[in-house]
Amino acid sequence: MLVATNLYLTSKLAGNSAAVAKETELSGIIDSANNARIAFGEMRYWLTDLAVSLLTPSERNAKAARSRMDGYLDQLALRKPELVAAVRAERDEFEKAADDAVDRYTNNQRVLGNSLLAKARDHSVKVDELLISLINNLREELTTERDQIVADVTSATQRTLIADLLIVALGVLLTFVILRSIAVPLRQLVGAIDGLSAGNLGVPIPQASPDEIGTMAHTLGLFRDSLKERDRYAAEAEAQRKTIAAAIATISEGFVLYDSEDRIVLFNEQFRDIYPGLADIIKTGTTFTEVLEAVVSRSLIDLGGQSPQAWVAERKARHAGSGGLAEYRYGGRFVRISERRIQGGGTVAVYSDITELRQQNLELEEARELSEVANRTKSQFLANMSHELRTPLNAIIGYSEILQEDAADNGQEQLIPDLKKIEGAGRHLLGLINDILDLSKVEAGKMDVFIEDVDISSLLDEVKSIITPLVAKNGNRLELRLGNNLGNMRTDRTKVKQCLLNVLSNASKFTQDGKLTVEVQRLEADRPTIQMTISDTGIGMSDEQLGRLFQAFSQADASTTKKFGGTGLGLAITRHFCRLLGGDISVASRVGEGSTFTIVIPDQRAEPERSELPIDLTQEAAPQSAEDGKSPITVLVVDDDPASRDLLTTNLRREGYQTVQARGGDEALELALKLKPDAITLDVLMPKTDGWAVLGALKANPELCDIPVIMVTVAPDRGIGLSLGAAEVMTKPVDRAELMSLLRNLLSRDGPILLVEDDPATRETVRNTIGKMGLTVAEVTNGRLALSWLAENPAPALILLDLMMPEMDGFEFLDTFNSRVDWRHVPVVVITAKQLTAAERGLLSVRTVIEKGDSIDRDIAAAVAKAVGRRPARAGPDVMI
Amino acid sequence: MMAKILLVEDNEMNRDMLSRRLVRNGFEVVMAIDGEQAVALAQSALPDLILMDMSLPVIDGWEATRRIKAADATSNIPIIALTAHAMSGDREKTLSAGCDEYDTKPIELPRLLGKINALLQRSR
Repeated sequence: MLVATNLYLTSKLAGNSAAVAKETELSGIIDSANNARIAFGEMRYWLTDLAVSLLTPSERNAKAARSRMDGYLDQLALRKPELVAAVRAERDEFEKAADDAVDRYTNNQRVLGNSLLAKARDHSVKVDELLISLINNLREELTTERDQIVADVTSATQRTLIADLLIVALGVLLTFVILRSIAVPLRQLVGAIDGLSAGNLGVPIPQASPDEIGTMAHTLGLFRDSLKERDRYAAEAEAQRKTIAAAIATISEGFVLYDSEDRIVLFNEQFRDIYPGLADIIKTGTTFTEVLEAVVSRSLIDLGGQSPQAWVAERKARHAGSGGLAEYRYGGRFVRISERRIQGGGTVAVYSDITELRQQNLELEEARELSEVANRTKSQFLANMSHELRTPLNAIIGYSEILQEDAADNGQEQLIPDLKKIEGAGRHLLGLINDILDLSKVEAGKMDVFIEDVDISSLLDEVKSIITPLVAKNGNRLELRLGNNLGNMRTDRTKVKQCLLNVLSNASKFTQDGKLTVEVQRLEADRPTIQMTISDTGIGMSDEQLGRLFQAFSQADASTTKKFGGTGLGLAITRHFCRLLGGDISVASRVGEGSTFTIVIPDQRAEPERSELPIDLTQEAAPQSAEDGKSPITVLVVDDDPASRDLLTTNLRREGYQTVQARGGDEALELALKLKPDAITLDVLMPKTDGWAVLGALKANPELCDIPVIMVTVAPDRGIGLSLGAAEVMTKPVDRAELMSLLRNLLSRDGPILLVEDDPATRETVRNTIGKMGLTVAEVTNGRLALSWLAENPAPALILLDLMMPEMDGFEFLDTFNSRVDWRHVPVVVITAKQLTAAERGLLSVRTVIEKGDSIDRDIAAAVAKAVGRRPARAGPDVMI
Repeated sequence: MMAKILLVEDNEMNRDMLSRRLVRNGFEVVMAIDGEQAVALAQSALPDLILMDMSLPVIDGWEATRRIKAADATSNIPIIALTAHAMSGDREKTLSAGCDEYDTKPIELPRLLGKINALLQRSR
């Protein structure tokens, strides 16, 4: 290409040299024109001179000049023939005129000579002008010629330049095309990297070609994909966080989540509302301690008399131990805080404003107290009324009987039927009063049940003897059918008797000249039961009558009351009694075909005590086992972690304790109620109902509050545990020796029984009773002495406490006693002759109370047996009032 | 020989009725109107049998029974407790307080006479 360009340039330059030669030739011609003009000037000079001088040399010179001029004109004629011809014609004119003038001058014709000479001068001017115009003409041509050359050269050079530029451009283009295949993908990669760095994941990544750049692009693509994935996860996490935040925003309680470093991670507005004065503090990142300190320093909380340091310490301990529930007072409001550790070490705290709840509880409590007072008043009124009504009735009945006897003795038999009517009406009224009293007691839940051994056949004999006159009255017969091996049963004799009498007196009333059958048999179903069927051949009942048969004040038909008498309460009371005894009554009847009542009453002797419980009895004989009259000691092990549970169980069994396991709080409470274990080990951290909640429930239950509870926890919160009623708080992992020694102390049943009683007679009774059980009694005569005794001796197995004593009474003693954690496991049974007021009962809260006077020795025997783990010979109810 | 019965009863009409009927049935009757008198009279009159109402002024029937049974001179005298309307456990309670028998008011005289005679026969 370049070669071609240069060749072109060369050819162009060669063409130019020809033009330059032409220009040189033209310059020579212009010179000739000038020379011609000069020659014409000489010629004109010489001719003029000749005209003046008329000399021959002048003529010769003129001729010579003319000749030179012609020479030049010949050269010019080659180029400009027309102009040269015009010059020659004018010069010839000029020469002719000048020659003529010379001739005239020569002839002395001066005037003619002058005019001819002037004519010659005109022609010479014309020649000059023609020559000048010729020269100018030639010069113009020369200029044109030069311009042409310059233009040619310029254009040639320009073309060459363009060609060169084209070449360069082509080169550049080629380079560009070649480089492009590398640089573009690279630039795209760099752009993509920049984009990714700037966080723009939408940036295009070049297609992967099968070279190194392709590999890079592929890798970058993978990188971008992983970034996208990361962003997707982040978006999902954010969406989840928003969902959670929205969810916790909707709950009515204050919610806050602390991370493992106890910094706020998440909270809702309700949490802020709990602490109106802490809005600046409550934000993500604030630590629990900072919140606490602000709470205290801004006096937002009622410290309950504690120092701020103590309060903060206790609050922190609770928080660290995830101490379940706590209630605090913020200003005028009560807040319940529930804290739980979560997996990964954080803590969730839920704050409930329970001010209204507390208020409602207070109101409820007041209402309950009011209603209790009202109920007691009602019961008292009924008891009084029945007593007051019965006393004159007894007189009416008694005197009408005496009068009947007197009438018989004195021969006044005609009076007897009337006297019998008075007696009958009195007995009827008495029956009504007794029924109403029974029903009101049942309905007020005041009906006591007294379980004893009952000889079934002798009970039926008694019933038969009582009911026979009534049966005979309507011409009926009574038949008893007793099954085999009825033997004894354990139940409330009086109530069963009353049930039978009620049903039989009904049957007697509604049957005329028929037959009443009582059939009794023992059923060995899943629980031993006595079934008594009372059938008659009486008037029977319709379905509608059956429907309201057992309702109080409702006989089968209102008119029956008039015809048959009765209160309409008998069957209602009977059903209540049957149910009180764990049984029931049912009836089947058809109008005109008689009725059949079926009473089933469980035999409570055979009540399964522990058989249903998941006790594994495979262990070797326990040290405190049956041979010395004591039942084995049962420890309830509560832990949600099977490994911890098994470890404790194994250790306890090795020491001879019987163990029962509970996997959670609810199960623990259920088993504790069923089983009444001797001690409980209680894990703190459990799902759902945690250890603290279980502890609270145990201590609030009168039947369970005396069971010593050992808390097992990962966090060192012994103070809280003890203050909540735990016998001890042990830190996981539990030291076996420590646990065993603790249990031995807590369950020490070899200690004496401490009797606190000022009355010598009662002391003697108790001493005798306990002595018969082979146990020792330590006796003190008032509360102060009892405290001294406790301070100096190991804990007793049981304290029997009189209330009314000189110096320090039972209530005051209990105040001090209850405040001592190490005595907490010692059960206290209150013995009193005093009718306790509700307030006093409240002070005793959950103590077993034995009333002096009646069966004190038996009750004490039962209480002692329970406390030292010996089965009482005859189990009675725990609370005798 | 007529058996001597100590009737302890604070209600005048009850006391009157029961005493008259007992006399009519051939018993010698001495009467006390509270627990304290009952304990004293048991000591001084040494009855063959005591009918003891349980709700009494001064000291109640439970305590009077305990004291009578606790004193050597009177410990062998059979006591029948009389309680108002039969309550669950009354019988057990009275027996464990030291009473030998138990009956409920209002009195069914034939039933009570049966119990009295049974106890008197047993103690002879």
